[in-house]
Amino acid sequence: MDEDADKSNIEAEIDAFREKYKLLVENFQNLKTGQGWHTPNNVSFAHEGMLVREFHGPSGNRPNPVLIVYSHVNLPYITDLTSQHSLVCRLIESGHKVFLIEWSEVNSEARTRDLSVYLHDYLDKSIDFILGKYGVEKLDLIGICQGGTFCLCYASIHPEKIRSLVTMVTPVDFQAGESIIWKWARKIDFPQLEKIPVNIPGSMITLFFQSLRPFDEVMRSIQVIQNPESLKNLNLTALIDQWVFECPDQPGMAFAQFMHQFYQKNKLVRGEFKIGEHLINLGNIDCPVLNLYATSDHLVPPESASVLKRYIHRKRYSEMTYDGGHIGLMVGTKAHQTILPQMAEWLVNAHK
Amino acid sequence: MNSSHTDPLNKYLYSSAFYIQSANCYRLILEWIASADPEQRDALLGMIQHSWLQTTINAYSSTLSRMGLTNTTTMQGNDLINLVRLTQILNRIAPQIIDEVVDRVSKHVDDTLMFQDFFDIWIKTCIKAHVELINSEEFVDCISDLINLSIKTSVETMKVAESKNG
Repeated sequence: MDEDADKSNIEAEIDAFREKYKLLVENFQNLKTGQGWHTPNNVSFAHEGMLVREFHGPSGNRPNPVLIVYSHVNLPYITDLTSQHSLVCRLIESGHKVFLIEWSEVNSEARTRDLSVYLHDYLDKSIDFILGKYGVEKLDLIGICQGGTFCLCYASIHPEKIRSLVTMVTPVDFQAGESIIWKWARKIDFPQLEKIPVNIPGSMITLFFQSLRPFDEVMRSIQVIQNPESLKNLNLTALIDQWVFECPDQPGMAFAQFMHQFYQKNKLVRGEFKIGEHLINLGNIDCPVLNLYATSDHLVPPESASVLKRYIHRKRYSEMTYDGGHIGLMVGTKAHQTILPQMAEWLVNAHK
Repeated sequence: MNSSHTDPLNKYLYSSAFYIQSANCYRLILEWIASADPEQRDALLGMIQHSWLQTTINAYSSTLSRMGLTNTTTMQGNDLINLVRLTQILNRIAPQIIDEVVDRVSKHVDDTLMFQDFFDIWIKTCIKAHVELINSEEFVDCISDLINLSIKTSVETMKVAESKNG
């Protein structure tokens, strides 16, 4: 072994790396990646700061509207980053009319809002608005992550308003599959927060997610720097990076309730979760359900999502799995070439 | 090295610093393979432990600082005890990582690994160890205690504010 030669080789590799890093930073700084939607849209309904966005595009001959309900934990524009990486675009391409709920910004008044406000007030009013606008009795619902849990609860209370339901990376059994969120949530005093709620800063949520896999983040960043091809896709990388760091503040009561009732008590699968007067019974859901989940999801383990099939009649239940992670199902090139177009087609045919 | 990566560019800066720091470890490992000098091995141990600790503590301290728990000027009693607990857990894990990496690199005496190949081994070992770490009861207890302290403080502040507002 020539020790000096080895050290010299390391120096050369590091020097080359520094050059690539500089190039990445220069390219990064030249990007214009302001938060925004790829697909033209307008706000067609607003209520207490909550917005319903209506996306523009050819809706073909299938006017039945689709409403996307995203998690409150991240911002929903991840569903519409670029034309090749947009769930909204995949739906429009299949002829759907697409709406999306953007939860209101969290202020001091949001501190005491509980989950019933989100379901009975925000979601219900949004759905009634869309149904009224299109003069139809039912719409299609796509719930993503926590938004999927909200949609399951809603569809069990109001099955008469839902034509078909898609759940994407949605936790159902919150304690299944070695869920790291459940493991960490078990011993945290959410009941106390539920009694005296305090809004949770979004930066803390961001850093929680980052803290789960700090070395994975390092590895991914080094791959981006090292791979010259990544400069070609830097706009997408930057958009995703930016999105990851933009978790919104969480409304104290609703957040504590979600963590306590769903994670700590696992009330959804136990049939014990109540919203106002309504006891949530997943068996009430009587529309076709498509459950999409990711096999390498570290936030919603596949076991947590797949258990949904036990609660939906087998004739109405379908599922698709994605060989990737939680975010990959939303933004992965492979997902946009296969599973998401298939999901959009499923929505076309589910009610026939 | 920046102590937190709260925006994308910071993340690349932080990751690059970690990468370059790993090169220092690799140089020491190569020296260790060449000389088998116990003193150099000790130096190597300290260096890699430092890298591991810095990266991991950075990830957590940035989270914890958001809760006001790692500011040493305001940190008191239980907060400080929990941070010390966290560091102790990480210190115990570091030697396992070092052993595993050194063992794998030692197998390449006649075909020295490129640094990039070493880094792949190093980072994957860190990822594996970190998964074990965050799933361990001791670690979950430590983090839960820290977060519960933060909740208690926030709730007490809220109670005072509510009583002032009638």
